[in-house]
Amino acid sequence: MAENEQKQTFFYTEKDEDKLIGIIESDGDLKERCDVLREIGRVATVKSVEPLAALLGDEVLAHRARYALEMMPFPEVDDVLRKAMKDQKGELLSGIIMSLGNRRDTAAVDAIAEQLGSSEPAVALAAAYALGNIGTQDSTNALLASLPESKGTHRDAICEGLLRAAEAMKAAGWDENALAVYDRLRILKEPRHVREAAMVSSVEMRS
Amino acid sequence: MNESKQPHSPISKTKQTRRKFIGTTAAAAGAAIAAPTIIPSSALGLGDSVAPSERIVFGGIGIRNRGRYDLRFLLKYPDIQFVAICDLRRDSREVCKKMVDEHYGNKDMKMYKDLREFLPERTDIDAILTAPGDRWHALAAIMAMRAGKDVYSEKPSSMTIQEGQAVVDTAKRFGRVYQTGTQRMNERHYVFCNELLRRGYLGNVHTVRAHTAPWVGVVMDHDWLPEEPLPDKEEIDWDIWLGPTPWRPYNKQYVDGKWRGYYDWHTSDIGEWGAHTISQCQLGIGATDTSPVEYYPVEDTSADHMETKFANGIKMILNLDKEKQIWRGSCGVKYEGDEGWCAVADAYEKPDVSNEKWLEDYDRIIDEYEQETGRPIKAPDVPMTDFSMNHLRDFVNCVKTREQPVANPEVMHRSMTAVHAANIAMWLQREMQFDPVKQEFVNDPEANRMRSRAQREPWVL
Repeated sequence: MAENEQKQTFFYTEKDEDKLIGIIESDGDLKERCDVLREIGRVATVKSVEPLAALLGDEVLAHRARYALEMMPFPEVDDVLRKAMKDQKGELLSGIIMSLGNRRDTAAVDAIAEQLGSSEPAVALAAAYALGNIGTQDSTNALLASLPESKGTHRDAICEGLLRAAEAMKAAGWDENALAVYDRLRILKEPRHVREAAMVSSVEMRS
Repeated sequence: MNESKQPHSPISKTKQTRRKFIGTTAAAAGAAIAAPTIIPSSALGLGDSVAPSERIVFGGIGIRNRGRYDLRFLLKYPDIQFVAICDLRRDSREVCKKMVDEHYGNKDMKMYKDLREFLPERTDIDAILTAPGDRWHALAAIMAMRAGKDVYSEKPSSMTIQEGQAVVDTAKRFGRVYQTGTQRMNERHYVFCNELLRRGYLGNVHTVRAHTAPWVGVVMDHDWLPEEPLPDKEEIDWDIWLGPTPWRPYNKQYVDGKWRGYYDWHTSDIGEWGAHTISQCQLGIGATDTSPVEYYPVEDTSADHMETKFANGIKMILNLDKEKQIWRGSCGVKYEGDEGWCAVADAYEKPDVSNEKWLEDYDRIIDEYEQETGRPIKAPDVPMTDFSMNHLRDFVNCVKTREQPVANPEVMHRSMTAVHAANIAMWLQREMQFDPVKQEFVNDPEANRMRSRAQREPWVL
């Protein structure tokens, strides 16, 4: 149980933004910078986007920068995340891809699709889930193109990406597109639980 | 509120066994489908009393104090076989192995450290018991379900509204059976109170009260304990312990249980007991597909007397009840109507009711509930303090029938949404309105930014 003597959970408002930017741009105390990164996304304006983007390659702070950026409802965030994709690799790149997927950034589809074949498992898996979350026909096509050659956990992720994409397209009223995905997945030999899931959805949509 | 989503409604309209479910689906789609993996009972060292096709093969993730409590009950069932444990701590893995091996009288229990290896490798496992701590509950359940396993997860089921929705989506996507460990939902006194409400004994219910925990309050901590050297990853894997939550320096106290009260890892005292009591209240009033639409924070940092309100006007009040004026035990609920009230908490010999005559109907109501739902709420020889056994039994039964357990993903997501929204209203200290359909706060962009937290790479919801 934490020793909890403070009287509030959050400490900053939008009025503090300049001060918060100053702290995250400093080389100061790590704990203080982490505390600010936890809070800044809640109150930030567009002004904070670039200072946060500058941390997307920092091994320690990159996640906290995404933590802030991902909740900020500005298109400028998508721009900096897409740009950061070119500069990062490994798990940091996987995190950026996940954030773009969570934000359903359709402009990132081509760049994310290129990562489906990444030799880094975390990147390839993140790309599959992100394309599924974006859930357009373009993102679906990218997943379908990678399906035949996929194996193991990578194949599982591509299949789940396709199931997510089908759900998104169904929710958008594109039933034929969704049904085509389910029909493709329900004839797969493996993975079995994906085949079963696609079969159930296919039957439900037709009934 | 949706009557069709009452806790008894099955996933499919017809009660089916696992085999029937697979067969029916295959036939309907006009395609062949492989039979589920069946481990012969001889290979499991079991007798012939339970057919292999009806036996559930279990594994565990993060089984420590609470998890072992659950496991103790699970091992009593002849129709389950517990075969493997995955835990980031070597000592926990070994304690669990010893417990299970001693029970079965063999050395067969397998141990894993990383669930990314455990889940894809053990295709023989049907269901997972998971209890790794709040920060991991949603993601561990999701990872297990996306590997094709059914899940019994300890509470709370999520850290954010987004996580709760992800659990709902994943269970639906893969047709998985999922139950949160809110065991009071299958405890007969709690069920009796719900039934009094549902059957109209209380008249029009205007207020329900949910007990909150008395430990850490609602103001969340951000402090870091002093940094200690990282242990060998085989002993304690700190990176996995942190999982999807923000990095911070290692200190063994966190791993040993000092994580409650921290913003990154805990849902406050509202979530600590509210995961039980708010879900119980919402089950009682049939609000299993919605959440309160209004939240009125209080200055008291315990959130005592905080009010919320559902769209139909029913108030749900959070009570700490320091003076024990409402309840005599923990995790209480109270339902108040214009014709009477009832209340229950842990270790009650009988529910409190405004009209003692209602208790004369207790046995009949419980019998009827059990017959109607098939839920084992009064299993023979189960002491009242051991009602987790009924809740676990409900889950195991549902794994076989493919029906929805009582604490299914939607029920838990909607009640945990109330927990998260209440926390956010308390943290921001302002009244809030919430739209349960859009799952967003009304005209409050700041609160809406708090509905999710980015997962730390490489973890994916």
